[in-house]
Amino acid sequence: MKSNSARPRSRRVLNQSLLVLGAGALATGLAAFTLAPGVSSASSHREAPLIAGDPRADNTDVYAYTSLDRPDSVTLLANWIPFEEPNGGPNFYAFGDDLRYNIKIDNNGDGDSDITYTWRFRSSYRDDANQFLYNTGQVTSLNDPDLNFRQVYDLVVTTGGKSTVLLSGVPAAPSRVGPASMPDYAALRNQAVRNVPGGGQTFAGQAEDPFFADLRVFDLLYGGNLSERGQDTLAGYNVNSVALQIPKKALALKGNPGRNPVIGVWSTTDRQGVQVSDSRDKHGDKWKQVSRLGNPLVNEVVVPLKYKDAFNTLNPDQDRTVQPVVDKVLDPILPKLIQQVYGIPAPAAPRRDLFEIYLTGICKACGPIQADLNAHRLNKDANLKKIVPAEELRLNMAVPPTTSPNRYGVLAGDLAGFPNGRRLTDDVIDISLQAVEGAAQTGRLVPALAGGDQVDTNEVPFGTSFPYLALPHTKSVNSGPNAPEKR
Amino acid sequence: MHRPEENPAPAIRHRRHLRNTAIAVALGAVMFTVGAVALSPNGPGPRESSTTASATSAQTRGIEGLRARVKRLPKDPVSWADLGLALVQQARTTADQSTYAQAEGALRRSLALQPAENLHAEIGMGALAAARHRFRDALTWARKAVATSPATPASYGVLADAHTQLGQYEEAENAVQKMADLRPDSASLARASYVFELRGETARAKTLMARALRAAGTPGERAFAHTHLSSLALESGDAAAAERQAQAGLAITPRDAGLLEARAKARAAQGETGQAVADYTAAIAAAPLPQYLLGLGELQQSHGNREQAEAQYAVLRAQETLRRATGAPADVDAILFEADHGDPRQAVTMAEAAVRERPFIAVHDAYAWALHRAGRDEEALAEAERALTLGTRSALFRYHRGAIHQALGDTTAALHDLEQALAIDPSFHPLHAPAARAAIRRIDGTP
Repeated sequence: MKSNSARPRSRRVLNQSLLVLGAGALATGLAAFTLAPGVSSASSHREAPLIAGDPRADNTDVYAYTSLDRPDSVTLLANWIPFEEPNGGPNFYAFGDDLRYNIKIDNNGDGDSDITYTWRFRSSYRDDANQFLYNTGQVTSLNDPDLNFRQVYDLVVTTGGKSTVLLSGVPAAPSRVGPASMPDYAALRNQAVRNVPGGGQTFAGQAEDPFFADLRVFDLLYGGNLSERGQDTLAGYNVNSVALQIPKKALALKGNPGRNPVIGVWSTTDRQGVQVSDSRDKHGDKWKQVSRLGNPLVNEVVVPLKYKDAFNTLNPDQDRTVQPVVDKVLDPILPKLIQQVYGIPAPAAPRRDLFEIYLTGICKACGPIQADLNAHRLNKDANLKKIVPAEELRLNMAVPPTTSPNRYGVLAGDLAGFPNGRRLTDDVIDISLQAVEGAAQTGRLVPALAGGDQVDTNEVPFGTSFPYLALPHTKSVNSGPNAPEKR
Repeated sequence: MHRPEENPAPAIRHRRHLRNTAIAVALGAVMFTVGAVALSPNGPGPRESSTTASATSAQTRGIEGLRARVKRLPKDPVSWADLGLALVQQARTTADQSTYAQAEGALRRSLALQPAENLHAEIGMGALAAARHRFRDALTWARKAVATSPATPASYGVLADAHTQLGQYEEAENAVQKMADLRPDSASLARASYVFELRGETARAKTLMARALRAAGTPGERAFAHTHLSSLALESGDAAAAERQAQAGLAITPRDAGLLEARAKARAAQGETGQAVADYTAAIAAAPLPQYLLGLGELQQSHGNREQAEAQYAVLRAQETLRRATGAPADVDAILFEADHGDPRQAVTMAEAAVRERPFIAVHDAYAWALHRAGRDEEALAEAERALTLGTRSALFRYHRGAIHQALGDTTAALHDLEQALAIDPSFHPLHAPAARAAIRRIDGTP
């Protein structure tokens, strides 16, 4: 840099002028350098955001399995808000007060929900003047005055169009701030588990994200390859979960899990709409389904990009009306790409085996997979005429739980795992990859893909009792193992 | 209560010299940037963070993550399109020409990889066209996107924005309805709020913008909702609430230009001139939009600070010189500036071109004002009527029509409009609000 005394005269004039204008005008002058007219926002033209992040509404995963420690009950889990950084302050992670979080059960196979469990949250601050503080001191219980921000929920069950409030004002487990603020977070978690009238338990709150995967394997679809694998994309992150453990008889058709052991499960999120135009059809302000999830990775393996938005709004009984989605189940892209890149021959289309896994459930009469596993047709009281292909996570509740689960589930002969329901330890990426390569039909794993995504387990062990989820992480994800814990 | 400036600037002796210098500097630099807007290669970015393969998470991954992703997957049209759209949305808050150029580069790359049925690129190109005020192009892209995927809400967002700016309000409302039916999220609720705001249903607009805030999933969306909750409060004459909203937004996104402007206006309305100037100055540093320059200039002028006002006007003139060189249609703020602080006949010429491209109520209002300042009040009245055709509760539009009525000698109508303007927002404009009061006094014949 030149010294100031050596400035040419003209520069001095300019600098003096700018000096006179004050710092603000200097900034103005400089910033104007990059402004060309015609590409600016204007006071008269507002460009509202377009593609929104809506993590509080977007379902990430659903699990359904017979509870190992209570085999007369099923555990249902659903997650939202992926990639929660443990050091998420000052904005900790809350459920949306403007949303309804649902887990839906179809026990007769018509693609419509017969039993819907809904969690509706309400937020409050204990000290309104300090809304920027999550907690004002050490939190040792859920009703500790030091817990400044809190959420409670109502749990509602809806059957046959009739809604019943099962529980009201249940506290959700808070975001885990850190060991100094919450020295015994496990105790807070335990206080957030409540009994449900008529049997079972409910939980809502933060948890470690149980999903484990190297999602880069799906970059095959986008011109990537499998050379980069083995890193758990979700390691170290938390999610917000709702969980329900419920007696099998409460879920089964006619309350009889012996005769009707198969249920279809999926999770949805609703938000209230708005009536804007003067159209004759005035249903704008009704609640709308904005997100939906049943089988894991359905968006990656099955639904084409241009139908993802439509899929989120559909009820499963409408799935079969969207022919392009059905076509993609019968003739998916992924095996063809794997053939191109790795020379593993893609199974011949139409893929009736995948149609079973995703849309009907597996039974000998349903398609080529030689097993009576989890199709609604297996329910003795089901009306076969009413059963339709619909994307749901199907669970046969009569299959006893396995004490030492195999991560490949059904493909390895462990019938209590995905795609018969989904357990926390099921390696759904590897199962899905094998399934699209035809392993469910042949009964043999494809050796060339044996590595899968090379992420075989979650980074932390799961619990042995409800809600089974691991406690939330407290260390920042990108900080390495020796990072200081959050306070 | 007007507080004196904290740091009064010394008087300027070479004002004209300065103005020329500023223009020369601005012009030279802009020419330089315009010459250099080829898509810059993404330099060595940070190491790629964890990403998911799903397109829906693209928006939450941030631009750096998307840049890393296209580097790793250069053949993936979706990642290029998502990067392009993210850049369009970022450019909205920075008004940075080079960001738009980069956005276009990424979107074109996506379309080259997948020319047909490329949903995300079609939405991105529509958003880019709208940002560049090419609303007919935006409409074309939006229709393409709707054809590609009839259930994607964002396509209807582009469609609604384009219809609105083209003065096709019923079509815009239908598009917003469709968007909200598909997904009542922050983006669609914000647009629904705007529909009611344009209709003058302020209470409904506030309710819906509050819902948009609750549904907001990103800092950008929260900033947007706070910005407009602030302006809705201010335009109802509640400056304290307007400041609170802007403050809440700035706690999340401290350098957001729109929020800084909102707080500047709220503070100016409460007589906190020094703080308002500081906020305007910070807003201009973040994004030198004409509306901020004009807001600051007129605020300074209203307090008799001619030099400081002139400094802002000099930049506005430089921007106008540039605009004319590129032949782009003028924006509302540029027209109003020319009408009030330049050559009204030139403002009329600008407005004629603008209203052809963009027959939106705010452009009709600016056209009306330009005509009035040029002494063509009969024509001005017709345009002022068009500006208020939806029943919008705008103090400025009301004031403009009132002044036109007065010029035409219709004192009853003038009085009504002027009083309405002040009733809506007693401090709607640093120069026009006092003018409205003076005009009412003259009409009433009170000294």
